[in-house]
Amino acid sequence: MVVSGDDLAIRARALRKCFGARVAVAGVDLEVPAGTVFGFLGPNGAGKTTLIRMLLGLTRASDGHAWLLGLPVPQRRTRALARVGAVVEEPGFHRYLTGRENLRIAAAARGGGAGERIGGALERVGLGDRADDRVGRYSLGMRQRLGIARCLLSDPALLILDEPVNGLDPAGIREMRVLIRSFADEGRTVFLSSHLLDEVQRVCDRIAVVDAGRVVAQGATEELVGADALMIEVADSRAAAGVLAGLPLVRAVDEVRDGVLRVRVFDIGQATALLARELAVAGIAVHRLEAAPASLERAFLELTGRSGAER
Amino acid sequence: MADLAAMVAAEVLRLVRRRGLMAWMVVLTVGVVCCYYGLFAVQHAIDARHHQPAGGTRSMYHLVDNFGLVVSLLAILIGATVATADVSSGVFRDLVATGRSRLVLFAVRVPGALIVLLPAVVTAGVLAGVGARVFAGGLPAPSVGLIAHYTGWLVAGAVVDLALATGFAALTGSRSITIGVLLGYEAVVTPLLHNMTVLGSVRQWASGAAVARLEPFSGAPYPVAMSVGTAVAVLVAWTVLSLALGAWRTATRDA
Repeated sequence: MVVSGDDLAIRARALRKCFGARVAVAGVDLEVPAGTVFGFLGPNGAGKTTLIRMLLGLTRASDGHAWLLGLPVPQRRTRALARVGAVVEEPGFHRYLTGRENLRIAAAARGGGAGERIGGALERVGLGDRADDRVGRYSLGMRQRLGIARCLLSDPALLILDEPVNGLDPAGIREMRVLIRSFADEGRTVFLSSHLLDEVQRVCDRIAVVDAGRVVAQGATEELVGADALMIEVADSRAAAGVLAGLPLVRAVDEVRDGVLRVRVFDIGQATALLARELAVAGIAVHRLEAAPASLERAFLELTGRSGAER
Repeated sequence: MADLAAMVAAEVLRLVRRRGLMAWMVVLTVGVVCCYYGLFAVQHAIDARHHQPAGGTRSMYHLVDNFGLVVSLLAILIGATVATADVSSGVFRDLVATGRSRLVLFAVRVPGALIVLLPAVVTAGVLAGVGARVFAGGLPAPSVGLIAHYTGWLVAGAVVDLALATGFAALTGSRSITIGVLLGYEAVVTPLLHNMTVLGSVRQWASGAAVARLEPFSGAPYPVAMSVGTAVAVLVAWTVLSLALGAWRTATRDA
C-alpha cells in the first residue's frame, strides 16, 4: 500500500532517542495512514513508549524528524496536538478529584470547546453514572476509560493509545476493542501500542513491529500475519517445491514437515486454483490444500528473532 | 484570556478539593489568631491583676511577628503542593500532551495558589487587628492604618514564600524535599544568618532579613539594617529567580 504524505496521520523519519550510551529508539521510519487502526507491536522495552513520548513532545528526540497530522513536531506541536488525544502508559489522574473534575482540568488546558465535550465523552466511555465519584474509587478499567474520555475532549483526528488494555479483565478488553473500532468507523486514526499480539491482530488494519528500538516490519495486518499463505500436503514435497517455486504468484515455499509445504503467495484468491492445477499438470498428487492458519504470534516471533530462543 | 482564566480556575479547584490542606490553612490562619486572643482573654478574665488585656498594639505586634513564620509555613505547603501535584500524579504528562505550552502550565500555578492563600492570610491579618482593638481594654489599640500595614506585610511575606516554594518544588519535583528545605531555611538558617554579624551586608540578600525589614516598626531594631528599597529589591530578586528556575525546569523536564 503506497500512501502519500498528506494521507499520513503519523510519519517518522530516522527518529532516534538515546539515554546516555543506551539507544532506546534507533532511527525509526514509520508511516501511519489516516483513518486506520494502526498497531505498534513490540516486546516490553522495545522502545514503543519512548517513540510515543517523542511524538507527543514529552521528551526530546536525539535525532530525526516526525510529523503528526501533516505538521512537523516539535516545531508545530501546539497546532498538531490540538487534534490529538493520547493516553501514555497508565493514565494519570488526581485521585482525590472526581472523574468529571479531572476532565475539567484537562479541558481547561485544552481550551476551545473542550469543556463542552466533557459530558458526552463520559457517556461515550460508559462513565456517565460514575462521573461524580472520586477517581480513587475507580477500578483500573474505569481509569483507562476515563483516559480515553480525556482524549475525546479534543475531538481528535488521531488517538494515540499506549497499552490501553493493560490490566483489564476480558470484559474490559472486549469493551475497549469495540470502542477502538468505533473510533475508526468515525474516520479517526488510532495508533495502538501494545505487546498483546491477539488484541493487535483483532483490532488493527495495519501493524508495525518494533524490536530493540527498530521497526523490523510494517504493513497490512493480513500480510504480516501470513494470511497470504497456503498449506499443501503432497506425496512428493521436494518435487512440488520445485514446481511451485517457479510460479510468478508464489513468494516463498517452506517445507514445514515431511510432505507438507507452506506456500506464501501474492494473491491467495487466484493462487489456490492455480497451484492445484500446476501440481496436477506436474503429476504430483495433492492430498490437502487449504489456507494456512494466520498467526501474528508466529510472525512476531520470527520478526523479532525470538522464535529460536523459545525452541 | 478565557483559556488562562479557566486554567487558573482549574488550579484553584485542585487546591480547594484537598481537604487536609484546606483544614490546615484554616487552623494556621484563623485558628491561630482565635486561639491567641482566646487564651489571653481567658487569662485576663480570670486574673486581671497579673494578666494584661489580650489586645492592644503590643499584643498584636507579638502575634503578627510570630505569625509571619506560620504564614510562611502555609505558603510553603501550598506552593510545594501546587507545583508538584501534576508531576506526582502523572497528570503533567497528559497536560503536556495537549500541546499547551509548558511555561503556561507553570505560570498559572502561582495565581491559582494566590487565590487560595491570600484570602486566608488577609482574613487572619484583619482578625488580628480586630482582636487587638476588641480586647485592648485600657491599652493603646492599633489604628486601621497599622492593621492594614501588618496585613500587607503578611501578604508580602506569603507571596514571596509561595513563589520560593513553587519555583523550588518545580525544580526538585518533590513536595517533601521542598517543605523540608524551605522550612529549615525559614526556621533555622534565617535566624542564624541574622545573628552572623561577621557576614556584614551579605546578610541583606537573605529573603528573611528583607521580609523582616518591611515589618511595621515596633521599637526593636531590625535584624539586618537595610533600606526599604533594598529590601523590596531583594524580595523581587528572590521571587523572580525562583520562578524562573521553576519555569525552566518545567519546560525542560521529561514528562
